[in-house]
Amino acid sequence: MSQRTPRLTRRDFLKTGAVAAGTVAGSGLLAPLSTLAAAPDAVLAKGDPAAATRKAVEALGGMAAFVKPGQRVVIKPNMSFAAGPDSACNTHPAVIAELMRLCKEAGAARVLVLDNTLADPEGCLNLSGIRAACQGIEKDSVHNLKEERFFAKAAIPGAKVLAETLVMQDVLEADVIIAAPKAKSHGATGVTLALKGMMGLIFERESFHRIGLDKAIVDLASLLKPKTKLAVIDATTVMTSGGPYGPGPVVKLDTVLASADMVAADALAVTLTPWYGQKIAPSQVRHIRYAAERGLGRMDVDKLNVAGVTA
Amino acid sequence: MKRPRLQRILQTLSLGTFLGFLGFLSFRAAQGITPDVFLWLDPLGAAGAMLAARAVIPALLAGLAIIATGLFVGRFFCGHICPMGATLDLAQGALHIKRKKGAEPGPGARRIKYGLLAACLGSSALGVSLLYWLAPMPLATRFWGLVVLPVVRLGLDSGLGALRPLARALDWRALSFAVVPVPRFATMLFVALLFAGLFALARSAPRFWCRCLCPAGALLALFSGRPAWRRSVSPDCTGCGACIRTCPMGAIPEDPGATRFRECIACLRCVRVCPENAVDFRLLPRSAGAESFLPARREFLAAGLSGAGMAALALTGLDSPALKEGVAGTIVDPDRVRPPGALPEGDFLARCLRCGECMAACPTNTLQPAWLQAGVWGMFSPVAEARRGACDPDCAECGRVCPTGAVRPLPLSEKMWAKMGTAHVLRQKCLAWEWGKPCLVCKEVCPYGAIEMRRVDSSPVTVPFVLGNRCTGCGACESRCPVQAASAIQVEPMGALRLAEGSFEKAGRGMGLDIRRAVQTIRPTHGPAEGASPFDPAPGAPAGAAAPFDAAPQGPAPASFDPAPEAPSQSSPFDPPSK
Repeated sequence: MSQRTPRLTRRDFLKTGAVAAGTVAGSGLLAPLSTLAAAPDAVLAKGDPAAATRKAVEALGGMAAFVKPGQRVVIKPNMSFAAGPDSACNTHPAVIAELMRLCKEAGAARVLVLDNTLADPEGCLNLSGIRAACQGIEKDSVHNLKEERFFAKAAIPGAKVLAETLVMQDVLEADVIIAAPKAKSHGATGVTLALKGMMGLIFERESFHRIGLDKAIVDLASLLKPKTKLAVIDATTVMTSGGPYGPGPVVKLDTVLASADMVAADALAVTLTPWYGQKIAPSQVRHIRYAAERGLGRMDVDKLNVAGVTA
Repeated sequence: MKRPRLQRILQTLSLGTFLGFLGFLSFRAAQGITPDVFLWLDPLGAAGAMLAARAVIPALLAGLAIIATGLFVGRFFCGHICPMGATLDLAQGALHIKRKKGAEPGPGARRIKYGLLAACLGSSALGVSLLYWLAPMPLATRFWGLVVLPVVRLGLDSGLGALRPLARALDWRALSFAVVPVPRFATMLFVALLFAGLFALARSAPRFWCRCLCPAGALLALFSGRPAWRRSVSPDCTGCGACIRTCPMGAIPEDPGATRFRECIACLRCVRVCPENAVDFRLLPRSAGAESFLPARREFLAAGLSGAGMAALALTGLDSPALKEGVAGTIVDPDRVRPPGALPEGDFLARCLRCGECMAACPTNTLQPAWLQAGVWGMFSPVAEARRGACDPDCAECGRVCPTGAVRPLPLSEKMWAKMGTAHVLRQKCLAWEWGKPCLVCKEVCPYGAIEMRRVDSSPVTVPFVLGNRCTGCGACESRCPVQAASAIQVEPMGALRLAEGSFEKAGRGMGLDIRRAVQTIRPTHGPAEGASPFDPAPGAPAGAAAPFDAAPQGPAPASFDPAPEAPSQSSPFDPPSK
């Protein structure tokens, strides 16, 4: 890797556009890790899903920076659609499996992959490939929870619209949540990334559409943010419109994005590619803007320290 | 008293198999393994359904074979195989139902069943099935499948819930996340009360139903006048009457040497209780034995005519299943959405035994027994209640388990084309249409991509439109719509495809349907691509939304943000860019 500026300016970043994400390491815009004093704010890793996931987490200081031995981890994938990895609407199973491996290597006591899906529960678990991919790493770890008994009431202090909701018990008891969404467009929220993906950890999300989708997403994020130590976004393929499940155009970016700040991860993901054929600034995505305004994270991508690595 | 062992063993095996099928079929894992063959055995179900449907239903030939067994072993089936009889015996024992002295049904009561049989056959002869009120095996299936099974499953699921803290503490994953889904059914209270009544009748006489009411038993009795293998009493009989007192069917008259063979279920209790060992069952020549009672011809005919009269009322009623759907003047309840592959309504009702097998096997609990959605003559027949659950695209169990072919067994590729109805948006309730809130849940959950979000002048957000030719009426949209109470998108049996024979796909394509699964493998393109934009068009661009999902690759993206639209607008999921 060549050595150049440690900072990626907005102009530079956007100039490279979606192509840059694909060729980010070779483009010479990003610094090798050794020149950075501290861990970067975010990492763009290029490569196949598993290798890029590992590289991205390593570049942030390794899983040990987020998961301590003996801790309980919940990974939140996108697996809401009964469709295979090629459909670009669920997180690639290799990304989830690699995250689980990294957690185990860091000494996690328990790693669960949990979601409350839209489509048929078994279909999602089977067709997404996520259950099969994780089975060899930690047994019986991938679950699709729909019954009320798996959820417990959680109050959300300072909420705008969602004063309380039922959250998965295992999420409330977890030490660490890792958001591992698929980067996709979404007709109601523009994009669906780490913040929006948290809707899969609660019992009843239908009301979000009634009470105000974007505000409710941010309320929920404010509850889960302290535990969400890491966001890893699968942008290996991105459905840039027609999401959340298409059909729609899919671009292949071969990129996995990671950040300890879920808002920053989402904001950066927004800049990876045009959406609906247009450039979109993170602040144009309402729930990202609200989240940043409420201090849940940063959306000023031009000021972020972004490292690029190639797996 | 010695136990009548053979009967109990056979009954236990029989009821166990029956319940095994039922419980087994209600688990998703059992899909595609076997239909419930037990339902094929109901003598009345078989005869009545074929008569009403004017068709030979191959599976039901088993039921006709059961009728023929009457000639050889009398009502052995009633005593040993019939799950209804076993259920009544079980209830009597389990609930300790004691006979009331002097409550014995009179001789006339035994004739009721022949009247009921005649009425069933009379209506079936005119093509209207009323069997479902009386055919024993469908009734038993409804009782166990729609009343008992949900209660058992609730118990199991509650048990899992109670064990969960322990399972979590020990990190027994599979146990801690295990769930036994609990189905819920309409009309179950009615079925429960009906059976409570039947159980209570045992106070008058054990197996009161089988003695006096069961038309299937009556049909078998018609052929059991003098079965080849039957009760015989040797001269050792002292006339002590022990057998008379023990006979659950009242089949032994005052002279214990005689037998009412049409009532005898060959339970062999009389053999066991005889202190003189004078009673035996054996193969006897036709002539030996007492004459047995047959229903009076006039009564039988009168009952048959009353059944035919009921059928005539059904055929002339406003809710007559004989009326052709879609023809002007025909009224169809908007809630009467049939399972995929259901025959045309008249044929369907003629065949449907209302056994509830399809409902017990339905993994999403969308199939419910109707009250009046299908008219008086369609009571308890299956309707899809989308608000409860959607018809699963990867399931065609209802047709596979249906004993009569009222719902056709279809491979999944065909079932997809068996359109149940069409969804339509109630715009005044829709969050997007009426309230301007960004919602596309219906589009998200539609397995067939039959919902399109478009921009309209009247709403700041994209709004759902149903593509009628892509919609199968599965109800996924209706089941998940976040609008409370009635959904803002509802399936009605509009455009439903009901074919008695032939390919649904062929017929569907012929009607211009274009049914396909929405989520398909998508080949990624390298580089940015463009779809229908939910945004306001950029200045200078043509107004109006582009054609949806028209993926036209573009050149490299511009190096800076697009200029802000002149007027900030709410018409996209994104806010306009800020300075």
